[in-house]
Amino acid sequence: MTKISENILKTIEAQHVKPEPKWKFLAKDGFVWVAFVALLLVVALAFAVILDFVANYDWDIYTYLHKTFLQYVLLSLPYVWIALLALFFAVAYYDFIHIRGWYRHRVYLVVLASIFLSFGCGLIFFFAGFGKTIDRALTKNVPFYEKVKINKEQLWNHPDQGLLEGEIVEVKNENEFVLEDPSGKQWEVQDASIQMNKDVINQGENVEIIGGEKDSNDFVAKSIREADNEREDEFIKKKEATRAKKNNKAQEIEIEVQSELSQ
Amino acid sequence: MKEKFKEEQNIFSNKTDEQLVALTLKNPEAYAFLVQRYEEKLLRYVMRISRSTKEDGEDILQDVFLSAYKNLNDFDQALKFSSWVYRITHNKVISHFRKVTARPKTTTYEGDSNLLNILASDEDLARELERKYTVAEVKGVLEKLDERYREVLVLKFLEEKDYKEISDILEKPMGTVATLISRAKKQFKEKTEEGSSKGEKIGGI
Repeated sequence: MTKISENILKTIEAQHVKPEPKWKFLAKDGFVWVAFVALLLVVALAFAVILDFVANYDWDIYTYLHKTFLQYVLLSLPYVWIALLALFFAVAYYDFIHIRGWYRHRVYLVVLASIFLSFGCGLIFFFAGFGKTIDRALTKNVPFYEKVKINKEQLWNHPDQGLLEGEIVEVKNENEFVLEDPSGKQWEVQDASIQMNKDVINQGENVEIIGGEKDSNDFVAKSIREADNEREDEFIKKKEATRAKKNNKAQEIEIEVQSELSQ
Repeated sequence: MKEKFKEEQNIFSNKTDEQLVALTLKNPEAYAFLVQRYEEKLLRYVMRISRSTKEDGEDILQDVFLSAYKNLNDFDQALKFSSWVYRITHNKVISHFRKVTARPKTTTYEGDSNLLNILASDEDLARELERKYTVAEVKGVLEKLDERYREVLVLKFLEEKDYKEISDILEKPMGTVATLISRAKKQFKEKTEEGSSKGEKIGGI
């Protein structure tokens, strides 16, 4: 026996060194695989949200904002989700290179297959409505989410450029209604053409209008569309905030008046 | 004791590495035969890719064999045992030099007297070495190479590993190994030419 082998055996005996049980290695391998699949699923979900955004975005209004289509696309892309998708894919790749024997596979094929699979699943998730569900859940429950995603309110809140959004608070007649925008300002909206969608002109309906500002409170509508459901949630939130502000002001005034009267 | 060892030696000497791994899991004493098979090769490898003295090399080796023993159940039957134990050695050398924050470099190993002939056995490198550089000069050039290039050259030409074995040891795809070897040869040539154009002996020796 050589000196090294003798020392090794002595150390093994003295320190009671034992081979780690096989299940530990199997569990570790299993965990790495599960994490890889889970990360690809997260990529798929992120892709579903991006698809939902692309499918429901108002791609047709760029001319009103005096932008070329390319400028509009570059300004409108959901960069946060694209960055998240890239990040999760990078983490999935990092996980992949910890899978036993990963280097024996053609890496570019694995990467292509992963992209194909995750995007394919993303497409299925999108059609199943998961993209919208995730976006809504995040909008509702994550306070900073609304700030990081594309703000459609900013997009539609340009009456001077012919874009207006809000809730119909009163229908005066077939061609005229009162709209309250998210800031609480009320607009008299008149129908300029027969394009007005009569189905959406109902009290309490949230709408997006393309047209032109007549004066500071009057707006002429050329086209009216129903805001998507997600936007309805935003309107409700905004309106609640505006009403809360108004109530607070009213209360403050009341307190001031009462204190003046009592003096 | 010696008789018992001789008896065991007779039994175990005909076993393959993989069979010895299986036997070690039942009887730790069988591990001594695996250690004996690899201690010299691995010590030479450690010294070729690291700055260590023979004593340091033996310490690293001790660590390698203990780690290999602890992880015997993780031994992948799809690999050769030699590739697996070389991989552990490679990782231990890297972590050792991370700890001491020193750059590993080649040191003289008495078994390397044939170094020049081995490197010259490669057609491309032979052309570069035709002016009959000394072993010390070639070692000087090796030392100047980037670590990753030096290691693949050591594995390919000095440890005589094939592409698949190098791929298993370094855990890199075979295509990457081929690229690394090609770049390593290129850098080796550049370094030898650099030394020649400066009118110095290559490797600054």
